Amino acid sequence: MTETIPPAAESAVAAFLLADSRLPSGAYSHSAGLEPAVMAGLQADGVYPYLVSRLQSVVRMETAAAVLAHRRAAVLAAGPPSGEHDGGGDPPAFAALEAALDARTPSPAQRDASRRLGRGMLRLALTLKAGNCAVATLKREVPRPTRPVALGVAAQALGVGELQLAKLCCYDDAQSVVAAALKLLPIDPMSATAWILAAEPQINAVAHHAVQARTAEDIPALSAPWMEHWAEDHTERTRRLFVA
Amino acid sequence: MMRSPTLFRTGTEPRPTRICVEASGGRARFSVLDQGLYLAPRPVHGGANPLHLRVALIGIHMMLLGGDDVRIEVSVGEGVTLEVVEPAGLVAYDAEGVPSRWSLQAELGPNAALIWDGASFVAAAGSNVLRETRVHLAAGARALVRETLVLGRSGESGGSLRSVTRLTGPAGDWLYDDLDLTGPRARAVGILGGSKVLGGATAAGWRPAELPAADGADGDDAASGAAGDAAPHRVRRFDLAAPGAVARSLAGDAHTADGGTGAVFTAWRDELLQTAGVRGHRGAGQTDTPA
Repeated sequence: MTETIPPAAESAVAAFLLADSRLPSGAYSHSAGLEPAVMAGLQADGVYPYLVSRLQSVVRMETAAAVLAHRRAAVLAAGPPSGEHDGGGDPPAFAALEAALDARTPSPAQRDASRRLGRGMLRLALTLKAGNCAVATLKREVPRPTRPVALGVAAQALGVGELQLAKLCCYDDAQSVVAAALKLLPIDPMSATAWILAAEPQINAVAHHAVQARTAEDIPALSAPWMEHWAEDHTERTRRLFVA
Repeated sequence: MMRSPTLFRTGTEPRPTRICVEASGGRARFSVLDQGLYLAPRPVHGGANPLHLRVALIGIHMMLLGGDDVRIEVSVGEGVTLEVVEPAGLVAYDAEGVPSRWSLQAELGPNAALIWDGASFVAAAGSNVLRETRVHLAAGARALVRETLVLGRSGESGGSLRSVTRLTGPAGDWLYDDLDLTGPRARAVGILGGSKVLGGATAAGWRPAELPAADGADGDDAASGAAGDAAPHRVRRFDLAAPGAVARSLAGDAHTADGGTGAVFTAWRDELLQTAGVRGHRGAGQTDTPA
């Protein structure tokens, strides 16, 4: 088991920032798969169940990966280990996390979407934390990281704690679904906002489970076949509001 | 029809069905062919290639009932192609939620190939099944797996099913897919929704050629299940990040789902067999385009 790195003071503002849709990381162009689902027939009453389905499948995978990336970043930020440390209990390297996510994501459209988001997040982290060792390492080892890996590293660099990051990862997905739903379906914005709060027990459960992860083996591989089909369908469309 | 009398009779670990093949003097042969508690392997004609063997798995006990634990262990030696055929579908019967398990564990040597021609696997209402397919591939090895998962017989909803597929290459996982349809994920939108059948063909170790566009129905958006209907959907191809691809279809009944992926499976099987054995011991880094 990894030794706990003493956390620097956690930054609440950084967490707000990363969760904000106004953040210039490109997330506004993504609907967390909602637009393809709507084009396949999903209606307003299906949005909340869809949001929960994601929390029960793909978000579990992404959150665990984000937590492990965060932990890896913390080890890198702490500097080289002193003495005879063999690194055996260290969290997995960024490339290993990426490989684990690739194996768990058969859909190329979903892999591409995740890397587009990851690239925006990495660019932001490089700008905000140019001197951060973990950010530089990620850029060097994985120039096109997936969203969860880039988010985990950015969060760590900005002083967002591990559990907070895990909740953020879930919240961001849910908020992407809701924000897209308001553009795609006749939904009352107040009701849609209430769905995020309604999902809080699931968000907390996913986050608490994710922080138990120790190795890449612990990253869930839960599949969601229809989401994967819809994601591929979407790549063939020209008329769409969202990239994915 | 609940608990398994078969397993109760033994009182020990269920005996696995074991199939090991290896090359000897330019020909493939069965080095182990063990009848398991549930399934007997029966060699069938394998075609002209002396390095290609075929075997059918014949059920010898009633299954799957609650408590059943069907294990199949396969080992394919260097350069050999083994094809395993399930002639009959398998039904996991109503077990009032008592768990049962079906697992395939395969080890493929360098440049070996496994073709798993699986039949329909039906999880009837009241069943509770964990299904696992794990294949380890050495350098140059290839695997082709066909499976059709059916939730419920005609006119019933499905049982509790979790199906794990894990294909691992020499340097790590190529595909790790945990289709867990238990608890909150049962009938969940975006997971399987209202679809009853998932048909799939999975190729690993090489990337099959693209098929002509005509496989399956057209890509009409209306036929894709988000509204809860169980209309058939065209076969979707997913190219893995690793060398390999998955063809999958989702449908309301087994006939439509299997029809689409069945054609893909046949094409990929032909492609694999075209190059099996004939190229001898290929280097690990070589690509696997058809000759």
